[in-house]
Amino acid sequence: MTQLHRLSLHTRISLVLTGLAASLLLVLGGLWLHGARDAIHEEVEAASRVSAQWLQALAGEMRAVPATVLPARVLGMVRPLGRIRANALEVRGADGNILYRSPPPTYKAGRTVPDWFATLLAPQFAPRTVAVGDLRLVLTPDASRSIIDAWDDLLAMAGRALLLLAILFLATRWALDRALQPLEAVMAALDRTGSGRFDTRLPVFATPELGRLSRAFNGMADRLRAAVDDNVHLETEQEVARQIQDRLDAERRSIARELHDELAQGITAVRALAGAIVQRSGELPALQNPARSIVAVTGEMQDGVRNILLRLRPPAVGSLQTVLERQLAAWRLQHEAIELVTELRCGEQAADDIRGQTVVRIVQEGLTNIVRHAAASRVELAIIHHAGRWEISLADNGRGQQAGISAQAGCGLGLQGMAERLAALGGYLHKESPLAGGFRLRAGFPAGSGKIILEEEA
Amino acid sequence: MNSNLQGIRVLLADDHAVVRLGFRLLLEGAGASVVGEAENGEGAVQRYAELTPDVVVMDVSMPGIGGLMALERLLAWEARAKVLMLSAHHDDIVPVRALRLGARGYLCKRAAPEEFLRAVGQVAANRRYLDPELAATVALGQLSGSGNPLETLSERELAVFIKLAEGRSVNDVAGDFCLSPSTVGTHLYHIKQKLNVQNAAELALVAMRNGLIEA
Repeated sequence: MTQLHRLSLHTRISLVLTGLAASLLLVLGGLWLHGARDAIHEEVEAASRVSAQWLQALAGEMRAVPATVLPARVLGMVRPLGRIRANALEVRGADGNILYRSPPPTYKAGRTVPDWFATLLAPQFAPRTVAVGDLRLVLTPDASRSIIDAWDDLLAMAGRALLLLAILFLATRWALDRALQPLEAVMAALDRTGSGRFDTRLPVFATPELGRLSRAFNGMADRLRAAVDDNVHLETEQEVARQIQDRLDAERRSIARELHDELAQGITAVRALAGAIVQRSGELPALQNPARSIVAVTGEMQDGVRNILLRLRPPAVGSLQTVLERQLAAWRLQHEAIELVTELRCGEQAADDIRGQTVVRIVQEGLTNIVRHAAASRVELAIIHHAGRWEISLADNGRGQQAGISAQAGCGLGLQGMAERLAALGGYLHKESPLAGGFRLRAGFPAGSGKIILEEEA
Repeated sequence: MNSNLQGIRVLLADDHAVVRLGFRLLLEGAGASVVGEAENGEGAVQRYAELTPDVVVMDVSMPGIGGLMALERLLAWEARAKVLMLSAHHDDIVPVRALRLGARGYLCKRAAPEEFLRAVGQVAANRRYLDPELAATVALGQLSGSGNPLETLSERELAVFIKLAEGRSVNDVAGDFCLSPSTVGTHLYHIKQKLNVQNAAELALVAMRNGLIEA
């Protein structure tokens, strides 16, 4: 069986077909044998009957012959005859001695047939005995001649059948080879595609089934290529987005450095100098008051610089939950007038990968916008990491979207920048105005890594 | 603005000349006398040895060995030195470090002039002083025990860490601190282990995130 499996499909189908044909031929052979047997039976029976009648006639003629010369006369009559129409003839005397036995058949002398074949075909007839005086003429039907003929016919037919089967086998194989030749091309194409050559296409084969196969293959290859292209495109976009983000971060750092090293120190110096003027101008209100103003304004400037520096600073290390809790605690301290209700379910997610940073930035931007534009007294923030996705919802009870939230396009800090960043991660940013009033920001994106957008489309 | 700092002798250490000028005028306006100025940590230690002022007002970030290391050396030289550390940063790590090292006070540079004078007065009177704006952060930072890996750095390692994070090479830092490069290398090895960082860029990132450096 395993040996059979190792044969090629063509050979196996050809073998099956040839086997079927052989079975058919065997059945036909059986039918023929049956017919041959009947024919032989009839022939031998007829010959035996004719011979017996002839012997009866002979017996009639010999009735007048005296008993002493009878054997010689009878033998003289039968000896030249030899075998009588495929019947062996024996002449026995009154005492049972065999006086004469006809010679063995001379037809195709020396030829024999296999015993099984002879027993299969040979008719069973009892010898006929005709009495002539004291003599007994025993006539034994002998079908050997017909059987030899039948055997020869069978051999010839078997030879032709074998030839036919061989031709059938070869023809089937050749036809299958020809019909299935495109399969080689299909397999080669699959191998090529499997090794990453997605430009492989199949010709449309003439055979309808194979034509469908090649169309299906080509369609699949097209979609595969499109998916790979999309993927490459996406990766490129993400790479570009990452590079832009890196550049923005670098820019942010250099701005922070400038602000800190130059501006903040300068303001400190101006503040101290203005303080010194205030100290020394007790008797000159015209000088002291502006100097006090300078001290006050420089204080505000420092607060401004500090806020900018805080926004420019990259998010802190640690788990996202911790980072957010810290950030929100700081925000609460700064904005005591606004009630901040939070639901944080971040799991064990880290804050220092791109997704963690995105969450932190969204919260930062959203809260900053609320402080700037919303005039809200209550803010509800929910950050939930569930089933492989981040879902962020930030709702306030402020003036709503009509108040005009600045998109701050292009600076990478505003909501527009957030939306772009989220899109690059395969997520979304929705701005909603609930019926109850206020403003609601909803963001979501996949938490996994890798081919985010493809997975979503799949 | 009539804080009485009469007769107090102050040494100013800050790398910005105009800032020193402003502080000098403020202090002198309050009756103190600025006996010397330094623009880096080494200078501050040297001037202190020469002048033995009542109070040292020193910026945390300066070229060379920097404020924290200068503070350590200064206190090693004179344990009773009264030092008010100034910083433009608003994190909780450096103030805690400075106060642990033995600084009498810690003030943000953005504090109002009156607050600055009050802080100098407190330190001169040998009382401890912590910027009210920082107090909450420092207290919370201590309470929460956030497990910030930076807490595990030794004083020396933190000083080296800040320098390295600013982008200076091991040899530069060795030069700054008058240490052998191999010693600094050992510090760097420990720092990397404790903070679980691989390279200079990650080191800088950790420092930035903790507000120890601005970029």
